[in-house]
Amino acid sequence: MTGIISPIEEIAAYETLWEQDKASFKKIAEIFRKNPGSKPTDILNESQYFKNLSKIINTIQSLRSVNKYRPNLLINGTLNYPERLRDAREPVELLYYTGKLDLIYSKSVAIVGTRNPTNDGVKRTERLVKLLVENEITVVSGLAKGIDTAAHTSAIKNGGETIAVIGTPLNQVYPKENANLQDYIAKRHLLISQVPFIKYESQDYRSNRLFFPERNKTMSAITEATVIIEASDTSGTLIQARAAIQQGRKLFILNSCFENKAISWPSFYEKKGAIRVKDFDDILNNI
Amino acid sequence: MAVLINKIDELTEDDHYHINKGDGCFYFLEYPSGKKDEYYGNKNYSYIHNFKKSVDRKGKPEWKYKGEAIDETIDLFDQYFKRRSNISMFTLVPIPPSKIKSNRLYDDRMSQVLRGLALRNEKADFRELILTKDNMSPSHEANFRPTIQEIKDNYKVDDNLIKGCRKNIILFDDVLTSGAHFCAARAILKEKIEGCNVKGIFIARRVLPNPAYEYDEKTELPF
Repeated sequence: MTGIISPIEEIAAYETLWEQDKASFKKIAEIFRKNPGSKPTDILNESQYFKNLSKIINTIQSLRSVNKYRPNLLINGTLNYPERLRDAREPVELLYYTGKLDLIYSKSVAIVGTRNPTNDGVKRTERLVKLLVENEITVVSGLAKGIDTAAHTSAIKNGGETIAVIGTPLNQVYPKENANLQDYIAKRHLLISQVPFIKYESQDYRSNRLFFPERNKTMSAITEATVIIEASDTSGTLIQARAAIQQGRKLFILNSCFENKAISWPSFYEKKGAIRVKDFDDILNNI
Repeated sequence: MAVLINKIDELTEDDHYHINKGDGCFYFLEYPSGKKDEYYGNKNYSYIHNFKKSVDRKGKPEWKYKGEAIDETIDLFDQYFKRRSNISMFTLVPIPPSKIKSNRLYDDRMSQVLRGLALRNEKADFRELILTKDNMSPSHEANFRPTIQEIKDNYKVDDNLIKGCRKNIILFDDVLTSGAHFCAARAILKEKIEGCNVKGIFIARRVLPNPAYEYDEKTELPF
């Protein structure tokens, strides 16, 4: 623990931790909890992560030359690392970003919901986002199909700021049809990912799917509040609902969700402290 | 919690034209360079902005923020050297301000920091080894960028201060941009002090936005 870090070596060591048996955000968070103040390179020795160093240097160079990004990292212990990430139950020690880092310190609200929204759901998203933009609040979402896409695009069309917290590494896109949107956000706004490059590349899509709900926890941690527009009882969006409550963040649920008798989650989360939104001003007045 | 300092390495060296990973340059935080008033409450931005506040603001209410930023920097460096317990190995040298001492805009903020650091660490060796011969425009205001040679030609080493100087020298500046001033200062020290090793500590490194998107304001959005 010398107090000096070489960021690229920390990335290589962190990516190597991900290659350990049954690695997960939970397991890695436990490692750092047991070794407070440690960095990835304190946990592994150089011979262990050396092989990943050149891989990571290539990945970074390719992001610079192919994507025209300046990729960067946020690592616990540096002045840029946002303290609010520590409110997560399993805080991420290291995450990647490209774009305007300033936005991560701005007042922000996450807008999330189903990948298959109703027309009303999309309209409500657009109206709410417009209002948030008018109040200079950064709109955060997960770049998925449906509500997420509507949230990002409305923020941009209304001249506001947006952050995409994605479930793929910075050099991948899901879904493919959002490739232009992701690129635009990276270059004009802020793109964040906690997903390790090497691990993602080495396993198949079934295992990689597990990264998507993890990013919802981070999205909740970096924002003041989460708003759920529409979601089914089995939606991944509810991971974020649970995280928001756990992390002491405000959770807003649109009244229309309560009116849908086919689902039970809205009243469940209302009992846990979520705020029912009858008027969008309910959100502005509570953040 | 102690704060980590970052080395310029393969992740960031391409952002600083004259610097590569072998140069031994270190920074505490990232400082955005974009349109003014667009920093959304980023406290790191305010910190550096206040630290660099021009001397012509002296006497205005905002001036106190500069003093606070200087104190914050003393704390930051002090914490760093206490953790390393190696301050006795180095001579600490500020990269000189762009103006000469008699200029009304002369700003020795980094000297103030190092003087404050030395007061708290009796083994610290702080020297204003390098002086500016003629006033230069601050690099962020200049219309042309001076070359390393031009910057170096405008520096002189204070010969009275060389004696007893330690072999390992750290140059200090607030923001690392292209690295030209660091390279010029290092070059003149190496000429005057045989066999010295020179490294750089910066409060922040300047981070440019991603290269401009090819769509301008009038272009239809690509999605």
